[in-house]
Amino acid sequence: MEKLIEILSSVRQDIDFLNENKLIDNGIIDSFDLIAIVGELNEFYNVNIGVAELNPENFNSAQAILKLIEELKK
Amino acid sequence: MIVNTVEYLEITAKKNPENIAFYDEDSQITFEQLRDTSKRVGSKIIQLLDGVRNVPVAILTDRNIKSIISYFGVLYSGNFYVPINKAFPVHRIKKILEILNPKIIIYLSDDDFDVIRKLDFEGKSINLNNALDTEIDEDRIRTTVEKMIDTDPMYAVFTSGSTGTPKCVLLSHRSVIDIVEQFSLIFDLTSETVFGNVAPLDYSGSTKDIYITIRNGGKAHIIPKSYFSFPKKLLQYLDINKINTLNTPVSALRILANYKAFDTVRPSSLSKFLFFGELMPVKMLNYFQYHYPDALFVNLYGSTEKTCLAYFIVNRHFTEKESLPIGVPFRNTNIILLNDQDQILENEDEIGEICIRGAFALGYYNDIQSSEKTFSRNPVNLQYQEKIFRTGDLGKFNSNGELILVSRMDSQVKHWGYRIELGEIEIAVNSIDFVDFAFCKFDAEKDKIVLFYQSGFEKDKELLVLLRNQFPQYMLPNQVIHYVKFPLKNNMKIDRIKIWEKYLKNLNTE
Repeated sequence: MEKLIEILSSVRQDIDFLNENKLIDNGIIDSFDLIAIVGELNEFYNVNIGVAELNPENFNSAQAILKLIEELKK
Repeated sequence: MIVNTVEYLEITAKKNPENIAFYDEDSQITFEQLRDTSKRVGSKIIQLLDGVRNVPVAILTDRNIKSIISYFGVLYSGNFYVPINKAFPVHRIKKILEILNPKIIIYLSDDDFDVIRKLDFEGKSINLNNALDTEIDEDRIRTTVEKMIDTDPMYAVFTSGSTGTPKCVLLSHRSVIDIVEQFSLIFDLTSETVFGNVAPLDYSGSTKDIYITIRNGGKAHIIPKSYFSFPKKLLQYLDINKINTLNTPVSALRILANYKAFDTVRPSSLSKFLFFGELMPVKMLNYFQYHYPDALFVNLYGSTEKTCLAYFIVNRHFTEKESLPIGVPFRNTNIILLNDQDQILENEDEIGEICIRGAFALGYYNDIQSSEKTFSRNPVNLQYQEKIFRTGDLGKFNSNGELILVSRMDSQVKHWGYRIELGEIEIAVNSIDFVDFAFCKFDAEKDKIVLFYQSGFEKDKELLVLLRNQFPQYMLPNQVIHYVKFPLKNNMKIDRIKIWEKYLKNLNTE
């Protein structure tokens, strides 16, 4: 989790990723941020987040993102 | 002959009053409703300004129909609108208002009054919802529209400026009519055209979606912002709404291509792709052509100062090593290439600045000095006063007589489809007290703005927070690199090349 927060923070240093759970629904991160985040995640975790995984529910919180990565890693 | 863009709406609203023109996330509007609501807003503005014409009216825009109503409201009042994205930092909006000095700002929802309050704005602010209750003053609207000529200003757009302040590009009715007529004709855009509007409404690219729709009595869907994050949702939206034409920045298409989104959902109505903003890589084009072998693909070349200059209809196969031409000029536009001696270049492969004769911008508002530089006298015409627009782009003609874009003459870059002057970011960073010196470089391959700064301590986070208060999202550096001391060259100048090479090397070893 710590590493994930670090990655997310590298894209947007001004957001409290640990506690925020409506990143998409409340428009806290926008499409540019999301592209950057997905790029970083794909690179660091060596996963391939595709169109099917790209939906709001998977990106509303760091928790959800972590769950997604763990599923993709399986 | 059409002499102002209001006439497009008048004609179509009379012909097809009940046809739906625009859709947004939660509403839709017919041509007749658009005309009548806009006239109400126009009547309100005429009242407040007591009939003064050709002055700026600022609008805090959003991706919705209300923005378009307020645009036409301003036009009916005989003035020009200046869209300002309400999501911009207050600091930037204030800077914009300083240059513009408008008497009126229109805001679109009660919530947006919060933004207005922070601006210390001394003029009048109008809540669009209230303006819609104004009774239409047909007489004053008619006499106002009658006085309009095609070279009157119609709208202005702010872009990044290299001197540290945003630049206000002022466009006339004539520039818009020019582009709308040529597009409709050349690309066969008609009442059957259903646009998916992708470009932000505070950005010149969307002018085409709006006014071509109104001229031809077609339809346009303002795609909700949230869809851009989720390619699958976006494509489903295009499919359900039977969108057949996309006039879009390349950056939006890149997202679809990167995720190979069409492999999952392929909207069946899409038949025209018009793209602009930056050069589309051939690899990406091939991906779209694979899914839409029969569609029309057009590479548009233009800038805020002249919405579109030239176009290339993709008519042959390109290999990934080639780059797409920007093609041939639109009718009623001429392109000349000038070398640094201001001589015309006519031979194949000679590189010069792309300069334009045609219906380009009126100039930069409240900035005569930059205007005279960019919109200069035609140096090869000594017989009479003729202005050309110097694009600042270098180009050449290939053996087919097609124009090829080579590079920029200055440090302007295209990032996420927006044009940005790196100098503007540098000036802001260099004015921060804990920064000794800073400069930006653009990593074109990764589409990243990289900021290098020298400071006694690493303060990346503080730096970014300060910049976020000043600049829209797309102008923020994507990577910040701190040095306690920059390496110097023998002449004691900062060794930017060495710093950049180190950055590239670090990328490769990661």
